Amino acid sequence: MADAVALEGRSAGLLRIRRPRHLTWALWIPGGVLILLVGACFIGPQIVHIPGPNVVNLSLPHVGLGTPGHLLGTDELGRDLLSRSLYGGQTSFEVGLASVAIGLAIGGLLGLVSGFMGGWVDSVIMRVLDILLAFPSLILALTVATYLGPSERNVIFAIAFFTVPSYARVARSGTLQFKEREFLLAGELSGAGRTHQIFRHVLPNIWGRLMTYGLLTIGVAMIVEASLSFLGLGIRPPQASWGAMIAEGKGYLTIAPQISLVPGAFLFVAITSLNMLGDGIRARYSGGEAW
Amino acid sequence: MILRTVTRRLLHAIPVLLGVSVLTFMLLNLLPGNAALAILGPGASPKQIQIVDRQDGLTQPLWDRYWHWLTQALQGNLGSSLLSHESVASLIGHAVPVTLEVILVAQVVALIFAVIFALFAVVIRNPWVDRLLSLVSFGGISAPPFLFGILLILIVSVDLNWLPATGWIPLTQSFTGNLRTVILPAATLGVGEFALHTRILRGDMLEQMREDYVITARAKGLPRRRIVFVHVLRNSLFVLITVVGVNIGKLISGAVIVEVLFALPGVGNLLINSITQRDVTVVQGIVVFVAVAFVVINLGVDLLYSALDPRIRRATSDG
Repeated sequence: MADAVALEGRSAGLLRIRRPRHLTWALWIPGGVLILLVGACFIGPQIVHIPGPNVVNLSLPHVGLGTPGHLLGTDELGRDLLSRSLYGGQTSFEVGLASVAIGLAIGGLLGLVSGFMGGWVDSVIMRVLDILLAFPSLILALTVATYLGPSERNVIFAIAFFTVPSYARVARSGTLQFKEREFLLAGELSGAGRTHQIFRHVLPNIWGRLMTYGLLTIGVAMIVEASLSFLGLGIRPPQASWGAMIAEGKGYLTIAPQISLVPGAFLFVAITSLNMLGDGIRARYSGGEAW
Repeated sequence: MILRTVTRRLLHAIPVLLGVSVLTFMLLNLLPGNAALAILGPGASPKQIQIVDRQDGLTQPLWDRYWHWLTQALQGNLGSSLLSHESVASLIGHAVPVTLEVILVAQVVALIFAVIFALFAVVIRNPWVDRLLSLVSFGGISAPPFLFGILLILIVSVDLNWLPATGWIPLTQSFTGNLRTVILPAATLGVGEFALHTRILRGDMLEQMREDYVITARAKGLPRRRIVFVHVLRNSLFVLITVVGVNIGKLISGAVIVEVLFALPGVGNLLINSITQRDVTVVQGIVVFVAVAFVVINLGVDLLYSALDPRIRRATSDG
């Protein structure tokens, strides 16, 4: 066993030397898949001739995969599933990116201020955010989405809303680490204002951490969007969304499973590559194996 | 010592729960859609809407309504449904056993399978098995629950015709019937948990294998298998308790989706139906109920954890 331990120690050392090459793959494979997928969703419909996502063709309902003109088949209204999946992907990525950006901006700011100011400001901000953390994420998103009404913009707000506390926590803990450092003391002694200190000296130091965390949560935001739309409280039909398409196909599983499975496959590939990319980045910075 | 931790945590939970009730109440009572309109249908005249509004006390100021609702809720009265006039508390009471059963079965089965698979991976020590298990568990973590559920329905219900795709038979009615209706929803909800637990347990056990006590045990002449099963597994199970605690929110959210997908009469389905029908009192009751349950369960997990690990107990009572 001592041998095995020593061997494991040695192989860990070897891994450390080999890590750049090993982890490059762990980043490039999911990264490449993601670039392809995003490209297909946003640019694909412009360069390849496919029917529009809402073009109804009642003479061709639920045809299977590989039908000429409808590569991935059609749904119950004869709408092209490839086209709808690509446009649905646009919605998914837009919601994922926008909600993370908004949540990150608000949560990051709150965390920075909270950590930097300390005292009662810190207490008030963190206690209020604790309230949001008391809800299971989907329940809070559901309630906010119900309040705002179903539309892409409102789904973005609903998702951003429930992610604010977690970004605030990341920003706050980062800020606390730097708060007592000499460069901030030097700034304070030379008369720098709080705003200057926060944005010019603290923010650049925790920027990378916030961005990494943001990247990790895009997948979560996309799953919540798909879940909301699946429950009929997110993106409103006829606008295409992976979650809503999967829900639409639920009633046709016996005759046309592709209506659910095609957007489902897109969603699965997108989320898995995002998670793998996130895990690759995590492994790169904190060591350990990826995936 | 432990009593002090409990008291402190409970005191901390009270303002949070008050905030939860205020936020829920405000969000739902400022809803753009009018509940009276939902009751009477789109053809209702303004006069009729006014009458219904007054009957349900919807014309009073918001703060008065909140205060009334809160004092009633603290006595266990969550009001009654605007549509069916049934008591919200009894609606929730009927739905909770279904949700609880699905969540519990999913969690327990996921934990059992996770321990088996993680042990297998650690004992076998085959890089190919590791790689495969790692990739499969990664996929399991990434797939949203409804996706796996659709696949299960397609294969088990539609193709093989083994189990019903929708519906629910309560445990009190028939054990086998209940089992038949709980398997697919629980599997759908549990697969992500299983994947996550397997991954974390395996990682932690491999880390534990490098600890000094393992070398000591090995030097004493204990067989590797015994070290893994008895010593390492027991230490690693602590990590699982934390993960279970962190994941409760995800499990509750997942239960909502699973109940809608399999048409189960649980809390999640009740919530979604009430939202679509704009039955505000029911939605409000459920959201607050779920949040309270969530806070209480989290508290329970924390206390369990500190009761099991003396180091944490000391750390929390100092701070």
